[in-house]
Order: sequence, then structure tokens, then C-alpha cells
Amino acid sequence: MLGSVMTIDGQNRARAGWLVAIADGDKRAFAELFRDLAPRLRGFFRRAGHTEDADELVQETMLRVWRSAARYDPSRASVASWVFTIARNLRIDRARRKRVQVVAEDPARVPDPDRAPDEVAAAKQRAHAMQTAVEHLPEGQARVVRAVYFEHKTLKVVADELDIPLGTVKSRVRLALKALRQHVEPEEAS
Amino acid sequence: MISHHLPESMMMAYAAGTASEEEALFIACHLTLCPHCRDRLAGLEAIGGALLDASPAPDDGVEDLLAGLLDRLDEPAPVVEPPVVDPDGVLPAPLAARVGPFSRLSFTPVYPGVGRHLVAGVASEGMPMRLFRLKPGSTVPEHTHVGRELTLVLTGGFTDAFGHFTRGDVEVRHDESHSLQIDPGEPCIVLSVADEPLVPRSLRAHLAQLFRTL
Repeated sequence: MLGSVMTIDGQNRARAGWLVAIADGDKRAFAELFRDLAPRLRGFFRRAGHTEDADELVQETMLRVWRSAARYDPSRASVASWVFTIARNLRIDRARRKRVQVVAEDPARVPDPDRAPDEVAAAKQRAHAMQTAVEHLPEGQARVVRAVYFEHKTLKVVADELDIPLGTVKSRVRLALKALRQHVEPEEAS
Repeated sequence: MISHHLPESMMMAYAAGTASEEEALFIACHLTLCPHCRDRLAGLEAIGGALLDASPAPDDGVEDLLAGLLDRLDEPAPVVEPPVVDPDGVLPAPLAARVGPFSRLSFTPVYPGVGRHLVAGVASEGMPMRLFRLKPGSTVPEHTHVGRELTLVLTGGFTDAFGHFTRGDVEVRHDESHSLQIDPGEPCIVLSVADEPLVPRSLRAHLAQLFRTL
């Protein structure tokens, strides 16, 4: 799979370009992004147990993408990660849970340290390599990670359903995060 | 400089959107004060993005879905209320939204040198969330946390057997007892959330205490 990193990078660049145009009200760019992302979002919501209303959730997610395109910051996240957070927030809203998030203009917020341009570039490379890593996780690990992210299950519920000890689930998550982490973070948290 | 951060399991629950409201509030308060953990969160959200890209992508009828949505793009977006913030920049905005500005916060004495303020409206799942104000230079005697108790320092600082904690630091204790030496200077104000419902826990606390003394 030589060059796969470039392919993913190119895909993200195309998406980011569409978002810039969408922020200017370009509906054709929106249609391109929709054709690219809607099928994946549909797979995401169906996997999350939304069999009846998956299509409606896809439309609602993409409507939010349309309205908040100007807020996408390519130095912070890939388009896929950003859209993931929009879909996640929609699910929280639908579950009638209150969303609690950091407020950008909060005077209490400690600002991000300035980052050198090469550091930003390196972080992007790692994020792109991660997609390949996700696809190559051992099945046991992939299953628990999917259960947490897609099916919104707690580790306890995952353990009960797979009929394996909670400790095993936790160690699988740890291993999976360790494998994926090296693609997105320069160092481990203490 | 923050040296005590959020545990991985909490970060993942928050990134995936499964954290309870109390947990999410606690986490968002730490994230406000900690650029390092905001980076960690971005990493966990990137995993979500990669999983989204790796999802099956059934595209039957996608053009119809798109056509149905294009008509709605010109609808006015819902008005978003400006977020509540603490003008003094002491309380992270998610907390200020619940308890108001820092300058108007009041504490009820519960113990010599210890004041408490219940954070209303977030006990939906029975988890009590409280602010404590601890007198500078004082000692909080040995006490036991049953289950998990999370503490986030907002002002001042304290030292216990596990380290020195100042603004932004998180302490996580499981069934452990500790005593606190409060830093001199300004009062130490902490946000505290307990993991389990308070009522059944008091019974369990008594039992646990009993077993410990037996």
C-alpha cells in the first residue's frame, strides 16, 4: 500500500477545499462533499443502531456541516474528524443529553501554545497514517473501539455482551489506543 | 503548569459522546484549563474520524437524499445563544453556566475551614457535584472516598500523599483515604464529583468503614 498516506492526504485536501467553498455558500461544493461523506455517515449511524432514521440523521449532520463550514480549522483536525464530532454531537442532542463543551471565547481558557509549522505538518502526517492503522487493528481490539465510538456502549456493557472480563476489554482498548495514538500524538500523557 | 491530567477512559467516553452530563462538565472544565488534554482529545476525535472513513458506505439513493437537503439549505439557521462565561475568568464557562459568576458564589460552612456549594441541576444520574472552599493554610483531616471521587482545583492548591495540586490539576481517588494540607495564601476552591449515587453510597460507606475497622 505504498502511497496510501498521500491518497488519504489528497482526499482530505479535496474535502477541506470543498469546505472553504461551502463557507462561501457554494452548493455545488456541498453536493460534492455530500456524495463523499453521506454514504459513510449512513454506515456510521446504521452501525450505531439507527436503522430507521439513519438517512434523516445523515441529512441533519450535513445541514450542520453546511451551516458551520466557516468554523472548520484545517490546522486542528481532518475533515473526517470534524464531521465525526458533528455527528457525535447530534447523537448527544437526540438523546436529550446536555452537551458540555469548552467555550472558545472563555476568559478562563488557557490558550494553546504556539506550534512550529513543522510540528503542525508532522501532526497531520500522523493523522493521515492513522486511518490505515484503524483498518489494521486486530479484530478483538477493533470490535471494542467500534462498540465505544459507534454503538455508544460503556466498557462494562461491551464486556457483558462479548462475555469477556471487563479487564480484558480495558486492556484491548488500551492496546488499540496505544497503536492508534502514535499516529496522532508525539508523546504519551503522564 | 498542570501536572495531573484526566484518565484515558474518561477522555475516550467524552470523545465518543458517551460521558454522563456530570462527567462531561468536569472534563470540559479541565479541558478549558489544559491545552495538553485538548490535544489528547483531538487525537481521540481523530480516531473517530478514521473510523467514520472506514465505515461501510452504502450509496443507494444518495442523490435523492441530497436533493431533499438542497431545498433546506436556505432555511435560516437556528439562533445560538451566546455562551455564559465568568467575567473574572476564574470559573471555566461550562461551570459558570451552572453556578453563575465566581464573584457571586456563596458557600455553606459544613466543617471548620470547609465551605460547600452544591452545583444544582446536574445530579440527573444521582451523582452529586459540589464546589468546596478550603481555608488557606489549614489541614483537612483524614477522610475516605468510597467509590471514585474526582477533584479539579480551581483556585489555590493543596498537598496530599499523592502530590501537590494547583489550578487545573485533577485528582482521581478510588476508595482511598487521604488528608489535605491546604496551601497558604488564597482559599483553595475545588470542583468535586462522586462516581456513584449518594444515597445508597452512604450505606455502603458505613459498611466499608465497618469492614475497614474489623
